[in-house]
Amino acid sequence: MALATTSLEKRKIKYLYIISFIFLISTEKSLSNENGKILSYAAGCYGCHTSDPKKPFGGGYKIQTKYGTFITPNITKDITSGIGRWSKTEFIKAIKHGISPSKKPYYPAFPYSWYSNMQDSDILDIFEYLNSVPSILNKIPSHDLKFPYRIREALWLWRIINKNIQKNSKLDSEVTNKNRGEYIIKAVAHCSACHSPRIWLSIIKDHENLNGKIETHKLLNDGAPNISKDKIKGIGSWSESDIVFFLQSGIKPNGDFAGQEMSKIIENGTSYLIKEDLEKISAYLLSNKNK
Amino acid sequence: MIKIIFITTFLLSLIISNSAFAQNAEDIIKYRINIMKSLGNHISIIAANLKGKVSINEDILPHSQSMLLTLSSINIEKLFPINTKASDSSKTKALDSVWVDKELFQKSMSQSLEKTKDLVKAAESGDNQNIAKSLGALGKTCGACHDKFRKKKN
Repeated sequence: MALATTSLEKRKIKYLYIISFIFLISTEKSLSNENGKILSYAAGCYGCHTSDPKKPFGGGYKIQTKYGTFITPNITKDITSGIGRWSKTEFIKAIKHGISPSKKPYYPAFPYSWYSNMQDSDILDIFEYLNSVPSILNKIPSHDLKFPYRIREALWLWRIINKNIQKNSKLDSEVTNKNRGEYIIKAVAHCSACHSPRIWLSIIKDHENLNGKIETHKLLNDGAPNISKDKIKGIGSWSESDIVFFLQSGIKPNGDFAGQEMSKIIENGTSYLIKEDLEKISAYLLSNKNK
Repeated sequence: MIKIIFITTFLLSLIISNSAFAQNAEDIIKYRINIMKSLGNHISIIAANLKGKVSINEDILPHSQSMLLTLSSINIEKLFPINTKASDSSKTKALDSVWVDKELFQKSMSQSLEKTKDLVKAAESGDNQNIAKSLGALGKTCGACHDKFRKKKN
């Protein structure tokens, strides 16, 4: 009798182990998916690839520039109009190097040179998240660009020029608690894509420069303010909690509000970041590293 | 002689009335800047509580209500008369679009007013998360209005 009870208990413990193991695996997976979701928003995937909130990541969002209009692609898992046939390797190559699976270069409107500093594990979390959202059939028309910018092959030349002019912006390969703020700013949220001055052919010389950008055309509304540590020209007079609150709500310390473009970035991007990450971003922006 | 006196008087009165008109325009510009600043101050006070910089949460409701009262009392015709454009004075940031696209301007103001009503309701509930959400929604309407109708900082 006693022997039978012990055997039953042993079996119960065995099942308990199995259940705990399954639970651990599923928790790990859902945490990874949560990371993928947060990064998909913070990196601007949702904001730039969604023209209709009912069709998230379905593409068709129009970016007006002085070169013409870029129309963003569908990045849902649809196999005909989206990225459903892409492998993990192809996705990483597209994000980090700006090369499509058909070996075509992407226009720099897609901020791959910032994403090149992203961790492969984070990119794969995004890929997994994109594969978990509903598939949308939405064939996107070609970009509507002026001549000669519509010649995609010319981008190979642009890439060489850009690489030679741009200051090396490689980040430490390991992301720790210490450099996480810098990682989000420089790699994920690509803040300098808007907050850095651009020279000819829209090249940004230094990704670390957050001194703001003047509008390229008065009708484009594409200027962005100085967010350096400078107390007068930048945001050096803000406190860490001011920056966190701004990135959650769009409200500045003086009671004024972010403009329409930044409001969208906050609503569809930075407001998804957890508070600890926003605090790390603020600490970086107010540190001596942000000149 | 009477003719000369008449013309001189007419010209003088024209100059005087014009300068009075101009002075009036500058006063109105200052007046409306103060109204906008007062709205900003109310928001800063509410935000300081939401950020946890201060814990005087009982101030959130009266300051939300003050904003609602201020916004409800704005009379666009009186606050933005035609002679107070940025092209007429360097002291205002109001773009000509305020007068060119008057209907849209009025609509934008009405949207902010509606969002302020939501903010008051949230403040009445005392739930800070709800208040932050409503304040953010109000901010979006204000920011959109500033983009279209306010000169950008250099």
